Amino acid sequence: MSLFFDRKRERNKAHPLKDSHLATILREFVAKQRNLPGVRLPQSTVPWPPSPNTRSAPSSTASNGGDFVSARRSLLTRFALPWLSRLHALDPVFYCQTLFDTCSQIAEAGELESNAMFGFAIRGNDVCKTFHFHIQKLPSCVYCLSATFEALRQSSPLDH
Amino acid sequence: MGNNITDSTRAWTPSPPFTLSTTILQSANDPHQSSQMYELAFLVPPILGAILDTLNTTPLSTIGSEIYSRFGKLLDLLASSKVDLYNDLLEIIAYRGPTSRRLAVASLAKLWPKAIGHTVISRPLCSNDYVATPESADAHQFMPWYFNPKHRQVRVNEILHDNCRSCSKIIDGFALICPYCMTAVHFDCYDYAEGNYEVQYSMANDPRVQRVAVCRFSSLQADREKIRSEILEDRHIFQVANWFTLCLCFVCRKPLWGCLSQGLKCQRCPIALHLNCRGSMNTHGLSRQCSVVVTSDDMTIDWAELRRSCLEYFPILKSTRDQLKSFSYEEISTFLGVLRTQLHILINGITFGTLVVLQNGIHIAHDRNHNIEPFELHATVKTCEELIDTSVLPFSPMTQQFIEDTNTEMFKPSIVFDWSYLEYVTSAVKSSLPQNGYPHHSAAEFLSIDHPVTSDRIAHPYVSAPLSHLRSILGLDFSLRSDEAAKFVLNQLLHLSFVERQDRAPHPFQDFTLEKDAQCLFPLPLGLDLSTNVETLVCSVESSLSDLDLSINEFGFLLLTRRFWPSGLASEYGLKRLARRIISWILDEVCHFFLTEKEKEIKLIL
Repeated sequence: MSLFFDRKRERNKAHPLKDSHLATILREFVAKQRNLPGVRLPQSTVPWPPSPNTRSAPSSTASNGGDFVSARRSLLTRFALPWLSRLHALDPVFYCQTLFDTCSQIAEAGELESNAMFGFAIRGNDVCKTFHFHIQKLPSCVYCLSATFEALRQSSPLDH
Repeated sequence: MGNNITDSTRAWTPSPPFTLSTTILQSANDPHQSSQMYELAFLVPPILGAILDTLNTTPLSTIGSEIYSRFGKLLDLLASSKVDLYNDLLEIIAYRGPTSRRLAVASLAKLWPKAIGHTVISRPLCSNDYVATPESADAHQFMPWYFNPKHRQVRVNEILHDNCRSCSKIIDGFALICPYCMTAVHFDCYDYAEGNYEVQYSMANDPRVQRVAVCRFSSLQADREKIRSEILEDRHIFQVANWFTLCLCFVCRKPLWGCLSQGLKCQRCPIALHLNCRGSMNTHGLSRQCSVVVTSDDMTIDWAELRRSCLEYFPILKSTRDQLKSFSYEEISTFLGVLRTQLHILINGITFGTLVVLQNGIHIAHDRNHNIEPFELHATVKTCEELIDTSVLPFSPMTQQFIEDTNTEMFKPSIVFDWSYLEYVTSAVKSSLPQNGYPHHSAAEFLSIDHPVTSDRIAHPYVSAPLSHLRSILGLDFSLRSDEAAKFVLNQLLHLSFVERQDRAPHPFQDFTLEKDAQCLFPLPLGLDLSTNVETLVCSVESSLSDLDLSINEFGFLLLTRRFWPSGLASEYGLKRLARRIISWILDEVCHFFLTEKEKEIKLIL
């Protein structure tokens, strides 16, 4: 096992729920017709082999942020899911526990701070409800959940 | 399991010139460094960070470009004098803001492009103002790989790294992979424009008859300055390449044997030649200009000559079954991996017409199944497969440890094609001392004042060591006593960029004796390292996945996939932190939708 040293870190660890990446994208990049951060330019060459999920390049620089969301989902399927899938295959119980802990921490974060854009507070209960509603809509999260159930199915109740 | 740990009486002893070297470098962050070194090294990240912050605010004017150019030179100077500069850049990525993070990622991608990898979804990593994007910034560099169906994990309809990125089907057996972005494709799906070229040739006995062969290969990026000089000198533009269809050298007319970096390929014409044959181009009447007329003589070889040259290239093929039985599991698994790949490349060459074999005076290509008469290559592959399956070969203690820790008792690791195992080997060869006990160190030496050896010292890996050191660790820890097998493993590590040559030469290691002092670097920490730098690596991934820029996200994912792939050997604490960050990254998208839904509600209310 690796030695691991937990050192004090001086950086801003933004809570996921406090982020509003898409809002920032819309406000700072789409509205001002700037290139989306990290999204390939329409004139750049398409990597080989072309991904079946790749959106066709827009005819102009105008974009509604859909390219950003599309590229982000490509990253999800290309890198995030294989890594999580491998972790799940390695130790389903550990994976399940990590997933549960992470979701719990996000859900228990309580009342969110005021959103910078709108200047109002979102209550924790609302977050949980909406969170559960949206989590079922996304294939990635469905995968997380299905993997969790798989982990539960594999571990007998007698083990606990 | 019939495999036993290697008997200690058969332990490999390094003989000169292969000894554990002291001409090594340890990370500036190593706790055993002197206080002066520690204090000096401590200054580098803040200074670099301040420069990067300032650079970002400097407008792109004439003065601005001058500053960018100077910074590029400063970076090169720092990298040449402080070989673990990547740790400082990782610290900037981990602990500073997004603006300097972007420039630090671009700097890493410029200095260690192979160790970082390249993007396939987002914009190239070094597409910043002060670093011009190379034309080949995201060009693939494919290599042969063997995907073992026995090692495949259960999946829920998802596309993983052992799926073909072209047809999406699962890959079994021989395939091609670009280890710098983890793009894997079936050999049959490899229609990469930069990886195929046609060779049109006329028959020597009848020039009116024209034939076409298709060569599949992958160029390996070389130093751009070198290429420029070659344009003037030779008029050919040679680049080291991996061939996936066997072909002949245009100089010596012998096959380009091997699986990696078999030779040089001209970018302008179909000439292919051995690295060592380049000097004798003129004596063989080969033009220095790209106006070569190819005939069937350049493509044809007699079966007997093919066999003889193969035996010459792979001395292991002369071994009998009983001799092969005396090798360790690691050696036989390495031979199997390399020879089986070679057999595929040979068959591909015959099928694609890049190699015309005359067998009893008849072209094999005329045979319906392109069947070549078997020789020692076929027999040795079969014997190695049988030996691996019968579990009679002894494991080295390190491999035994790997199998126990990764819980892969049912599926023994393929030494040269198991990513986790190769990471494990890299972590071991970085170590200052073999983990398996070094016979030359007696208990008394541990108390010696002249040569203090402490357990703490073992815990901190080198950032640079000579080739002889790596060779010794492979022999002592992994029972790779055969130089031939050790060379295959080291060249595999070199190709995956777990190890890099300090001289940046693109060709593989060829002779341990001649290159024993060749300095090897270990760019970027690995998740398995016993080092404080792993914490920086994990923080870099976490910060990269928190960034708005998708290129930086992809950089984080490349580090995750190539440097911290989940295995039973990795730290649970590290895996948990990374898994949390990935899950949060996934849920960020949920939050985006959540916020946009909320935005709509708010707009309605207002």
